Amino acid sequence: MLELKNITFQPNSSPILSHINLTINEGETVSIIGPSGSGKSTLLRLMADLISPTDGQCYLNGESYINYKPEQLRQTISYCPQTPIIFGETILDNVSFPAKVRKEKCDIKRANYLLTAFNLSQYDLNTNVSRFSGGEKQRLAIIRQLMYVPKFLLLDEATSALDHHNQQLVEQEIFKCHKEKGLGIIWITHDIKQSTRLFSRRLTIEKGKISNEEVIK
Amino acid sequence: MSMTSLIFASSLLIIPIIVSYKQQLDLSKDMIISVLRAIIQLIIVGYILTFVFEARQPIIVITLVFIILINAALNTRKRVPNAVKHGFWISLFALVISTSITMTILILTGALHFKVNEIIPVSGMVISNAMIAINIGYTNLEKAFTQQRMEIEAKLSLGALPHLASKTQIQDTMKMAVIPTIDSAKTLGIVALPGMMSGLIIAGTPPLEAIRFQIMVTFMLLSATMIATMIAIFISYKQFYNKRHQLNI
Repeated sequence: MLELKNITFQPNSSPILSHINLTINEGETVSIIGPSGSGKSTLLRLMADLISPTDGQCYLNGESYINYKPEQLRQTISYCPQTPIIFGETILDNVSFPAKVRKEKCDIKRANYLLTAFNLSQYDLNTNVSRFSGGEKQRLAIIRQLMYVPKFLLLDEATSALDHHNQQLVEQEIFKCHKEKGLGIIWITHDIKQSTRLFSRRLTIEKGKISNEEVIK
Repeated sequence: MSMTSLIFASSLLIIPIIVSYKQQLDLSKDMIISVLRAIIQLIIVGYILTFVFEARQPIIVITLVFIILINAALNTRKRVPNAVKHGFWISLFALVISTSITMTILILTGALHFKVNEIIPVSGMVISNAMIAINIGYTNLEKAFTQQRMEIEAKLSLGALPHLASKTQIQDTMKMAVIPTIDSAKTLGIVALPGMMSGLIIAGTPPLEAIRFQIMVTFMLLSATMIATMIAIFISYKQFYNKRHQLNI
């Protein structure tokens, strides 16, 4: 269970987030909507422990984030940023990174499975990624995040550069992980239809506060 | 060279001053100040070295080397990244270690003798090159962490520890700091006859002997710049992170 208790993030004079209280259960699927600059990405970065709140605390399974090692926490709550960042030169450099973090061998079988599921099977693992389109980079960044399925996956407009077909493929695979492995999903989206169609709960964030919370299904 | 010849040689300065004036480069003042500074500094150094060479006391040699080290460390302060605290001490530590290792090896292998006229100029070269490498390292480290912040955070968000998350940035920074020394080694004898070798030849040393000395200098500069950069960068990069392994820039 992920809990945010009275979270405020105010690096300068005006707060980006103020007094956020939120509980997300294991395996829950939550979408976050709201206008640009409302604090959605900051909220996800706080959940991923990439920044710390100026006030309040985040908890995982009742334990404050402070009691977890940062690397252990981020392998459990994994954040995929809005702009896809590609590592190194090849697909392998990217899909093998999570294994490198855990000092394990890269699961090539899973990498190939995910490449097929994300409509990138035309490429092999040694393909140079420097000329990948924005959509291909976005899919590769999500594949990297799914090489090991975390407890919670935080996605920041993860399908914004994808066409309808590829968007559906990505959604299918992520929600397959939810059904089969109990993956909890917290997904920032501007697509109201997407948020209604897929998620069990929808949060609206405006001016750094949760202005609305709806249970969808 | 007589003093009169040197005064006449100073007429060479007229050319850059005229060019600067005609082209409105606004460099004349800077040029005159830099030349005056160089003259004053070199005269002082000349007197100090005369005193040191005559004294032949190891403690004086070591003290002088230490003064050079402190001056070099002070000269790196401007380049220390904002996130890094105690930059002077980091630089001094890196310079002391790199100079000590390099000079000890040179003395133990018999390439250099513990003589004032060998230790002072050679350690000056080592320290100066290590200082330049540290400065390049600091500048590029700051740039790498600022410009590639998103890549570092993407790696952190996959559970990477700081050294793995910023490995690419550290490697690139180190390469950039050492490449000038490697490049200058590549062109030795082809593009330029290095200062020390030219000095020895002008002073009457046979060219083949001067070359041996220059080869030793090349080895020591590569070693010193690499050690100094590695120490300075490896201590500094950690300060870009807080205790929660979050970037604090």
